[in-house]
Amino acid sequence: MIYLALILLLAPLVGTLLLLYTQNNSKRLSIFISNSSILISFFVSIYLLFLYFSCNYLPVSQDVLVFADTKLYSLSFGLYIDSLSLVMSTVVTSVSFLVHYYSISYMKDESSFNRFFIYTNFFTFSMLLIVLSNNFFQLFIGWELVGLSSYLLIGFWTSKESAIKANYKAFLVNRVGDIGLLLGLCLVFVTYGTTNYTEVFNLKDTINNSELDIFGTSFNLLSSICLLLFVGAMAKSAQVPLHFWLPDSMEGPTPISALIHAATMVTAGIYMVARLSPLYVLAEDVSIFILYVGSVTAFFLGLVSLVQNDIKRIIAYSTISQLGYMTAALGASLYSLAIFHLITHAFFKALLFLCAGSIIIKCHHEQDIRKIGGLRKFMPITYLAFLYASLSLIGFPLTSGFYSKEVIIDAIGYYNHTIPYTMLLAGIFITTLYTSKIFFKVFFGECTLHDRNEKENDKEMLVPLFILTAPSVFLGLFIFDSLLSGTLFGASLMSNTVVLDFYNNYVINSLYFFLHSFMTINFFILLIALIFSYYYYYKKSFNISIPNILSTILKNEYGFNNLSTKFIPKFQNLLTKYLWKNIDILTIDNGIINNTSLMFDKISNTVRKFQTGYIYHYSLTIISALILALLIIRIRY
Amino acid sequence: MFNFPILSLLIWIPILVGLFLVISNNLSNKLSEYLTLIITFLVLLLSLSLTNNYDQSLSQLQFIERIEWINGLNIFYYLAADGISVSLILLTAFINFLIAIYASSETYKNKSAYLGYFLILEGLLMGTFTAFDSILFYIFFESLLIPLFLIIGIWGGKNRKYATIKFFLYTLFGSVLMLIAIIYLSTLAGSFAIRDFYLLNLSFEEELFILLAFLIGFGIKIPMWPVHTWLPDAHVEAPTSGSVILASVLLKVGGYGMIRFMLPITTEAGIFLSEYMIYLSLIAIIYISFVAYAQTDMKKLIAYSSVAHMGFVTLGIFLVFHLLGNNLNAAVIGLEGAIIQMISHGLISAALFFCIGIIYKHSKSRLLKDNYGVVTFMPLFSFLMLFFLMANSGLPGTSGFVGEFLVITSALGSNIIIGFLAAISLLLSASYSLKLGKNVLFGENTQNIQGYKECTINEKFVLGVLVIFILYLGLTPDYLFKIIDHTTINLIDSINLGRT
Repeated sequence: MIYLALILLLAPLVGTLLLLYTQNNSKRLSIFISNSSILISFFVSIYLLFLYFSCNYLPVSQDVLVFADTKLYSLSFGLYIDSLSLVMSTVVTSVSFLVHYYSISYMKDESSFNRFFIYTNFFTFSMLLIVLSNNFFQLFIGWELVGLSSYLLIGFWTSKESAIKANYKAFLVNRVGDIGLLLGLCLVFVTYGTTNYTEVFNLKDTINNSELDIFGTSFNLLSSICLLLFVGAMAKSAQVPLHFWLPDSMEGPTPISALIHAATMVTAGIYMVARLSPLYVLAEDVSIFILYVGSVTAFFLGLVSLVQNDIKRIIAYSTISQLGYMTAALGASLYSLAIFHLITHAFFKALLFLCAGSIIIKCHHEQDIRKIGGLRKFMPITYLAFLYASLSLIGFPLTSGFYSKEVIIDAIGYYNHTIPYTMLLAGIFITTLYTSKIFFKVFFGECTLHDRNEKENDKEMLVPLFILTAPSVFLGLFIFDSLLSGTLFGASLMSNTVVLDFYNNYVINSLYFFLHSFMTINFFILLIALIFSYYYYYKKSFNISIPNILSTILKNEYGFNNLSTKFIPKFQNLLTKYLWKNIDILTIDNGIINNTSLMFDKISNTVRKFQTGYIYHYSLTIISALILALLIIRIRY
Repeated sequence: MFNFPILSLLIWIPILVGLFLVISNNLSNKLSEYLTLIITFLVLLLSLSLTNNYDQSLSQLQFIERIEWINGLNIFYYLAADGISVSLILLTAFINFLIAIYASSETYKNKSAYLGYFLILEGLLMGTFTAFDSILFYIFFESLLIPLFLIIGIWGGKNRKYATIKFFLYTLFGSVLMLIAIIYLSTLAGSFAIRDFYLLNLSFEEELFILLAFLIGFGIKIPMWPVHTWLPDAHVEAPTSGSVILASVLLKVGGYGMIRFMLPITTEAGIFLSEYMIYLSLIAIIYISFVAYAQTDMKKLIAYSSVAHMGFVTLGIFLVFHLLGNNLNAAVIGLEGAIIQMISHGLISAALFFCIGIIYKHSKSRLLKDNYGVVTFMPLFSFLMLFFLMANSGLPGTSGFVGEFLVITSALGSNIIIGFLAAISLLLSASYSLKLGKNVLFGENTQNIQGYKECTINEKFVLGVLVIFILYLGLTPDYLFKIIDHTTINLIDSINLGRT
């Protein structure tokens, strides 16, 4: 089993290495290598998942490669195989494969076709490194490597100025989170003496009562670790206030937005918290914080997408908002529900992005939805795929998104977290509005294509849409019962009792939940939102003017845009220049060092005057000194 | 065991051949290049066999050569090696070998002398890392200045006079203080052997003055804030290979000296002052990173980044003082982190200075604003340089991460605030490293007025080998850990025992 898991992990890496040696002109070869390596991973992952459940394996944790093994401590790379990691790796490899397949056609005119696949294969490897890790150390390495792949792929078009700025920003914001994650990791390492998950989980109770002293105030050590690690998750999973890199990351190629910035990498934070649930369950104060961060993100950043006009930016904000739902679920200790939404979201959001990619290609890289319209007739398949993805996103009954999202909202309501519950409910309304906004503007109305005889895109681009539609619609229903009743993840995720209690008393089963949902406020809100957007975006029967202040705030994305593009760079330039010019050059160099040498210059110039080189000067000095000496002797004796 | 004087060979072969090259003026360029290549390769082989024969499970000194040198004064020609020496010897031999390979893509007048000075420098460095008699150490340490002074002074840039004088006086000032401390210690100990100094029972005031002398002497060399300002100037004026050897090996002499002299000899004073020395290191890490961001010259940017990275080395060393008595494990982690950071920075800074040299060769400018869009014309080179920049920003999987990770871990063992401040470097180092990448490698460039052309085969070899070693140390550094582990633990234990 461990060998199979190694194949699962290493196949994309081998693909990357082979691609490095592939010439850029042999496109077919690079397509073959990149796609087959991911496909191998995918099949192995499916097989392992099947094996795991059919043979009732217990979780396996095994070290594979020694990083450092000294007398006092040891660090290593290893694999952790249980239902959670296998389900996650299946999601990652399946979406990754479909995106790879889609990219064959999407990227076909690129000059550095090969390079694209090197990056994507490497990304898949790094993501699997996180997912399959059995220790914090490897988690951090994978964490930074996905950041690196994201950096490289956002800046894939190296001469596009905006892309270069966006990837710089993305990397730096992620680094802010990484500081938190690294501190968490180091704190774990220095207190437990190990970074292995199972060993740390076994020791957690002994350490739970330790305190950490910061400026005289003491904090609970375990809570501090959890909080620091969560800062890492906030950056990676784009939670307020570290979210602002994600909309800009849309400068990269669209398949990348689907793979990295919607389906997989941004969910790494959610996965990490779920993986470490044995620690988070004990840190109740941190959990409350997580809950609020999640619901604030879900509501307020959803609002921003209402005023955006770039199709990819809207979907990006929608991703942030959906990640907020997952985070809120984590905060309420509903770990399995967060993972549930993570899985369904990975599929329907990837589908949504791939549809957007098809639309963008068809419209010659036009991304402004005000300039796109009437595509329904030309792209019937994309239209249908987009429709299903949208229904899933807004949580229309029976779709995957319905099961995974409603259940989070209801559970948070069930446990009486009133304020988050309200924000998440309002989120339904917003989600519906911005989804219908894209949908109606892009597919209906005036047709804007130049060539009236345009047809659908190549089959490479359509097949992934077909395939992704299935999980976007049905997967939710399919795994709903086993997931909520705890059979799917078992002991991998903590606090089963919380979910189970909710399941037994509120949900009962998927059919009952479905029927019951028509009587809830959720459905009511959804219905109103649908009717509203039908009349507002489609029929355009009325106009609403948003107050100026509100729309300015939203258009500025709560000021985060200015903060990151104007304020911080300006401040940094000023500060760094000031420090350099005033302290380094003026004070230390000119003030101390050069002044010292000037002083020596002056002293030596003065002293030099005595060395005139004239004999009579010297003899005069000698004689006067002699007389002086004689006089002194005379006086004293 | 091993009976042949391998350490002496490591020192004297390059020095003698180097002297020959310097004296014989009419040697052709090709011949001197080949000769240098052969000698550096030989030294590399010797140091590999040294590493191979080094018994990792022992913590005492090995390969000892001890001959009476100056009878009346009790001065010995005393060479030996422990884990720390071995790792630094390997780095020196390796970097010099790469410089010899790179030499054929540099054009300088009087090349045989140029290469000769590098060989002399190599031998002297080997001597510094293996001398266990303080006078012998001092002689090697001091003479390091001469070849580098000449390399920068003769083959340097426009403003080389100012830079060389500044560099020379700065370091001389520090080492004179160090000499006084050494002589004082030897009069007390009645011997010049460094190990005898460890046994001395110094009063607190004595320790304090000796510590300050060492701190200034080695602190200038490494360099620490605020005595770092010679480094950027020296780098900017130095020729490419001069910058490489300066950043990658010469700075390490400072760190090596701190570990060898300060930690065991002046422990009590060190504990007393540790807090302030840690602040100085943190200033180096944070403040210097800010200054690095403001630079407009690529070489200065990397020079400042070197100072910031050496801040981690000094932090790791000074944390030992802070942690003695309450958390010895964290102290060991910190010291090992400092040593690994030295090795890793040796590789990464060398690689970056090579890269800047290659860009400069084409565009004849080191300014950020004159270089842009390199990736269009030098895709492989840009890929490699981006890798080195990432390593410089401490990306896990590269060697740059390992040392920083260990030092930060050790810092958290003493105080979370120190750890947090050190960890900010993760953000700052990424911001200036990637700024360099963003401005120079990427962007639109259709004209190619700079005349960029893909690397030659030997440049590719040099950078490729560096990539392999940076990755190797980043992914499975176990071998390096094994070399230094026993030495470090033994050092910390003996310091701790000496206290109680």
